[in-house]
Amino acid sequence: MVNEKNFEEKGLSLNDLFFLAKKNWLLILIVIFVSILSGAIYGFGIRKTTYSADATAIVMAESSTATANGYQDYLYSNYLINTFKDFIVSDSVIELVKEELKEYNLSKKQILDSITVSVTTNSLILRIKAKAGNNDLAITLANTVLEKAMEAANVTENGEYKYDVLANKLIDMEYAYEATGSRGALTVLIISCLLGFIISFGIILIKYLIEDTFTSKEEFEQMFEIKVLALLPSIQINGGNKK
Amino acid sequence: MNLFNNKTEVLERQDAIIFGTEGNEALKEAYIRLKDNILYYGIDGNKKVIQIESSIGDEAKTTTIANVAVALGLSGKKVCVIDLDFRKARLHRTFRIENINGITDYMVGRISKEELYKKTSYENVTLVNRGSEIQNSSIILTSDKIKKFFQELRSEFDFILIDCPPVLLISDYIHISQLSDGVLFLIAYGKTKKKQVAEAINQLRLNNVNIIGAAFTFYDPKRSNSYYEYSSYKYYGYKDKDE
Repeated sequence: MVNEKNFEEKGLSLNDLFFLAKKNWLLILIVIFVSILSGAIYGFGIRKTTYSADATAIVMAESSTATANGYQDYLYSNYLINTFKDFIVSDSVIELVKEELKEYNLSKKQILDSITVSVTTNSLILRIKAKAGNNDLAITLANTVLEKAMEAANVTENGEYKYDVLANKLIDMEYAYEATGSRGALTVLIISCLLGFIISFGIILIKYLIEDTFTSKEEFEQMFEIKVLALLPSIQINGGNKK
Repeated sequence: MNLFNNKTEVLERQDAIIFGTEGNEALKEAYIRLKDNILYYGIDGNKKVIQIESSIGDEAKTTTIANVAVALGLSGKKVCVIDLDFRKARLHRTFRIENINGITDYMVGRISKEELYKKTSYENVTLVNRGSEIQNSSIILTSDKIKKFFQELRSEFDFILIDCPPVLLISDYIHISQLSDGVLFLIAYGKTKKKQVAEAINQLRLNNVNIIGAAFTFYDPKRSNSYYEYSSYKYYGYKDKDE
């Protein structure tokens, strides 16, 4: 009978993989070449470098009640820092930023898309990350947002703070002084080369797994325990046709 | 007899006999290897009737039988090739002999044994063609006359090779196996599906047919995942191309 176990199971050892790679070296080279070419076109042509700059500040959280315990302090500081997080992306702040950076002709949406406000878990540090197409704009944007956030939090009306809960709460501001560029074209090339390698192996493996005919005499012999007596190639006619 | 005349004509035939023609060294080598294995199999003198089977059609059964018969004949063995593929008789075309006065005619007593045996243009190779078409092959294959005929063949020839219909299409193999000593199973490389091969071999084994070995036809060493056959056949393959 057919060796059912062998018929169902189809393992692939490291040797098999190496052999398949050796046999399909041209396919691997072509896929890697195409991948590198795509990476080069993207890395040197299409892709634009973006710069990001960080500005940070500490939110001072003081409990308003003398009887507050630790848990209430925690809740209050949590509430305060999240209020600040939302306040920074509110119209009150963004309008001020837009006005300040009018020379760059940025829309509100562009500003909002360029900045990310995050809070550090279990601390009162507020981080404003700004992304832009050039180094200076990224730094300016991050610092302006932080400045205008503080300015908006301390706005007064009739001698009183408009946002009493936020007034004078931003301290220890650390302005951005440099921006980091996104990954360079060389990195894109390396990544595309690796991707090409992975994709080509993927193609080879899929080809191997969906193969439903015998690819070696050993496979047949193992499956049926019948000796293969000969491997008969096709007839080559003079013109090169096969029969 | 001259093996080397009409070379072009031989190659132009649908089922070519490559011995006596130029080129196809790899294939000749493979046929000689198969012939040697058959010689080894029949070394005790009893196992000399070999049935050539395959799962489906167009797996080069007729071409293989013809070339192995010629190779055996060139080794000095007296060979008889019999066409028992009653529905798709092709052996006569391979040997360029008219399909008249065949085994079906002999079985119904229309012709004598002398008329049945056709001398081919290849040394020591005799053809028994199918002859007239018949509707029910099992009547002939199960008759006492054919059993007696095969007994006579055994005493007259060193090897008898039988061309049969595919296992999965026609069940004649069961009756033919009663006349033969074993089956040589052919698999078309890259064409016959594993499940078809498994089904055919299961059918043979269920009917207690003795499978002496297998051979791959249309074998392409460049596509093979065999560690051992690749390099040697690669050399032959390139040699053929150059020719």
